[in-house]
Amino acid sequence: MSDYKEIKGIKVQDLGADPPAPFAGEVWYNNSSGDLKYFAIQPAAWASGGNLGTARYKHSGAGTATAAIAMNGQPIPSAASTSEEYDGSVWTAGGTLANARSDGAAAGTQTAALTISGKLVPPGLQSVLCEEYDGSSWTAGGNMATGRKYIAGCGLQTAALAFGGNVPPSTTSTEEYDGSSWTAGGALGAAISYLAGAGTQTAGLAFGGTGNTSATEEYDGSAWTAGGSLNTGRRSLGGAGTQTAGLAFGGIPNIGATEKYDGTAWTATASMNTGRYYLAGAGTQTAGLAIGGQGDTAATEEFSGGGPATLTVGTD
Amino acid sequence: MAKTYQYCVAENWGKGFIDHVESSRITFKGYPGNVWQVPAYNKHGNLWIAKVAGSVKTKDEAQAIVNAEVTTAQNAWDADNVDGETAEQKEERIGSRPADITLEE
Repeated sequence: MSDYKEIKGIKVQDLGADPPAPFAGEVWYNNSSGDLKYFAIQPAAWASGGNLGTARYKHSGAGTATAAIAMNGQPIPSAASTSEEYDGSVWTAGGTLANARSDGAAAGTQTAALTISGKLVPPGLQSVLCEEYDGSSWTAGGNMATGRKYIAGCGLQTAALAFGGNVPPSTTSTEEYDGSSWTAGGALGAAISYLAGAGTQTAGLAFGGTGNTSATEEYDGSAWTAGGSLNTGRRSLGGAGTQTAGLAFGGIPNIGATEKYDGTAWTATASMNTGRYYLAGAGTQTAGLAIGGQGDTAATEEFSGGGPATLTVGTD
Repeated sequence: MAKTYQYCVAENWGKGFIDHVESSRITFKGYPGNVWQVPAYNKHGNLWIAKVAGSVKTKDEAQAIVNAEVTTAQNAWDADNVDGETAEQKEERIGSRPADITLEE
């Protein structure tokens, strides 16, 4: 049987600590921890996250993969006026919203979130109402000029962007929030609903939507311009990340397909383990979160963008 | 013909059910009824089924479970009506009617 030295021409290093800048394929024994370790380029992959306390779809999400918040959605009434907080492992109940709604959008963080428009359920009519979260309770935010459902949003609670949606009909309208009031922004190039959003108020990203479009638009704080096209057109999808490092996942027609955006083009990456739509997204391109979805699912999936990592033989 | 996939039933308990290493090694597909598809004749697929204490099913058994779940969801969707509502309005209100699913061999 060959040993490591015969194969590589060198012995496995015996080190007191992990090397500061290992190269791909490097193997060493850490005599402090007693672990045989190696450095490898990990592929992108989705893994199971903690299950929601309340299965939900047509909801919204914000925050990061380890500090996320999910709010609103269907079924009614269990999901519509509730929120949940995620710590990277477990979902726990958050504050109760004043308005039961679904098909809205969200922005911000787990401790400073904003839920944007959507439709009140019942009666199912689009609403101008928004609510702000401080990590424990929801309070009224400024009203949008135009309420709409199937809308997308991004940014922060004090610098949010809301765009598209259905008034009806589908709209190009964009509105910007400063933490107290909404003002008109630049119009999308095409009227669209059921889209996803990512980024910030001054560097926003809109992608997918009505008609299972592959279209992407980029916002610079005043105007939208065309971006690269998704490889797989879809609507009612999840989104995360930024304008130059975006992530699109899931959507109708019930797919798990995931794509990464670099500011110019979308490229396919690892698919979700369970295809779904009417889901919510949070996080970044390298640490994304897919939350709930159709079929009243409580399942969450966590995306790792992969890349170089130190791993331990026998456990990783 | 050799089969490409194998199926099992396992309840997704959340974190750790499928981890990143498992997901990078094999392709998982989840279906209604806690039915999971993993590659056949694959060590990593077999190890994962053992880890989650999955109940292995033939493709036909798995298809029957999925069909039952989809039919239940379709019946619930069909029965959820509001007087005077159009088909379009209904789809807006509760989403699309769950579609039939055909598992692969």
